[in-house]
Amino acid sequence: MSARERLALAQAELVRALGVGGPVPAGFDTARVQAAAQALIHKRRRAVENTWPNLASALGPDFARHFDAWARTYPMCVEPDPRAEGRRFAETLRGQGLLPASVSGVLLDFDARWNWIATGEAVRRRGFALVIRRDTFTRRWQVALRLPGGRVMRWV
Amino acid sequence: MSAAALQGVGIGWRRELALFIDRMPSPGFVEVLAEHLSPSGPIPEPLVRLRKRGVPLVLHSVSLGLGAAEPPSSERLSWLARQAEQLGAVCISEHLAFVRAGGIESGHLLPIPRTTDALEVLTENVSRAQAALPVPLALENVASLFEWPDAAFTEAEFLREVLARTSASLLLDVANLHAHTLNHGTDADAVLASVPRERLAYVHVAGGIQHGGLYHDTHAHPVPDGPMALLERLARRLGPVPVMLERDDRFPSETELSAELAEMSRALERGAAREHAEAHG
Repeated sequence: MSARERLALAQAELVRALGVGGPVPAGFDTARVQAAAQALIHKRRRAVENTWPNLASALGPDFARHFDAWARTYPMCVEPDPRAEGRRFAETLRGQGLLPASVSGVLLDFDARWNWIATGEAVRRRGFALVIRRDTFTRRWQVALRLPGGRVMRWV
Repeated sequence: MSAAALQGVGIGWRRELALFIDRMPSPGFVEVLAEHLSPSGPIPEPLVRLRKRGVPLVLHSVSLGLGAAEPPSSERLSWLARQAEQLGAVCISEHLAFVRAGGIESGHLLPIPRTTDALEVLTENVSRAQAALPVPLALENVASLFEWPDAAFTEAEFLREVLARTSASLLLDVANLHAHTLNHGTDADAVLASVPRERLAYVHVAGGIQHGGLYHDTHAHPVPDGPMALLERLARRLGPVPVMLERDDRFPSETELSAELAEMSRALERGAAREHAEAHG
C-alpha cells in the first residue's frame, strides 16, 4: 500500500468518528476526539443559526437538540454551505412533523430563490422560477414566483 | 514577492469589519478569505479601496486540504488561482491540515499525522499547488483538540521538515501554537526556534477560550496573554515580523479591536527592543 493509500484509510476513519459518530480509531484519545466532534457540530449549528434566524427562533430551545441529532445523521458531503444545510435540516423536520408552521413561508421564499439539492448544494436560481406545494399544516396550496431580477412574489 | 516582503500589523478582512478596516490609518496588510469571495462576481468595493490605498492583500484559503490523502483538485486550484489574480494578492496561504476524507466534509481544519507518510503526501500536494498558483504559497500550522498517535516528529521537527522539503514559506499562527502548548504540551520555544526569518511570510494572532480543560481557538474571544507572549518571543529572535489579527465571530467594539492591534505592536516592539539589547549590549 502506498503512503497515500495508508493516509486515506486513516483520515477517512478519523473523519467518520468526528462527523457521524463512528468509532474513534485506535490510539487516539477518545474523550479528545469526542470533544472535537462536538466542537465541529457546534460550528455547523452556529452557521445554520446565523443563516436561518427564523428557523432557530421558531424552534427555540429545541433547535440545538434537533440540529445536533440531525447533523450526525446527515454529514456534509460537499463544501459546507449553511444555506443548504439549514434547508436540508428543515426538510427533515418537516418529514418528522416537527417543523414550526411559522417557517413555512420562509422556506417557500428560499425555494423560489435557490435550487437546493439533497447532497447540500444551493445554487441561485435565475430568471423565472415557480414553486407550488401543499403546506403540511394548513393543507393549503402555496405558490411562490421568482421574477427575473430577483423579486419573489408569494401566495399562501 | 519573497516570503519576507510583508510588513507591519494587519488584520483579517471580514464584512463585519469592513468599516473598521476602512478607517484604519495604515494597515500593514490585509488578509482576505478566499471562500468569502464570489466565484464569478467582482471583488467587494472595500477591498478595491484597500488596493487603491496600496495595502498589500493576502489570499487565505481554508478548503484546499493540502494535508489530505487526496491531492488538491485542479478545479479547486484554478479557482484559487483566479481569486488571487482577481484580488491582486501578493501571496496565498493555506493550512497544514486536511478538511475532507472518505466522502465526508468536516467543515474544519483537521490536524495531519506527523509521520513520514503524511510528510511525503503533503510535499507532493504542496508542489502540485505551487505549480498551479500564480503567487507564492505560505503554509500555516493549525490548532487541534487532539493529536494523532505514533508521531515520528515533534511539531518543531515536522515544521522544519516541511520547510526543508518544500519551497513554501510559513504562516506561523502563534494562537494555534499557544493552543498546542496548553492542549498537548508542545514545546513552543522549539517551534519558534525552527522558523528562519527568510521563510516566514507572516504571523497570525487570534483569541480563544479555555473550556472543559481544553483551549479552543475560537477567533471569537479576546486574545489572551499567551499568544502575545509568543509573538514577543518571536520578535526577540527575528526582530519585528508582519503580524495580523483574526476575528471571525462576536465582533467587538472598534475600541477593543484597536486596543488588541496596539497590544500586538507593543509586543513586537518589546521583543525587538530586547533583541537589539541582546545583540548590541
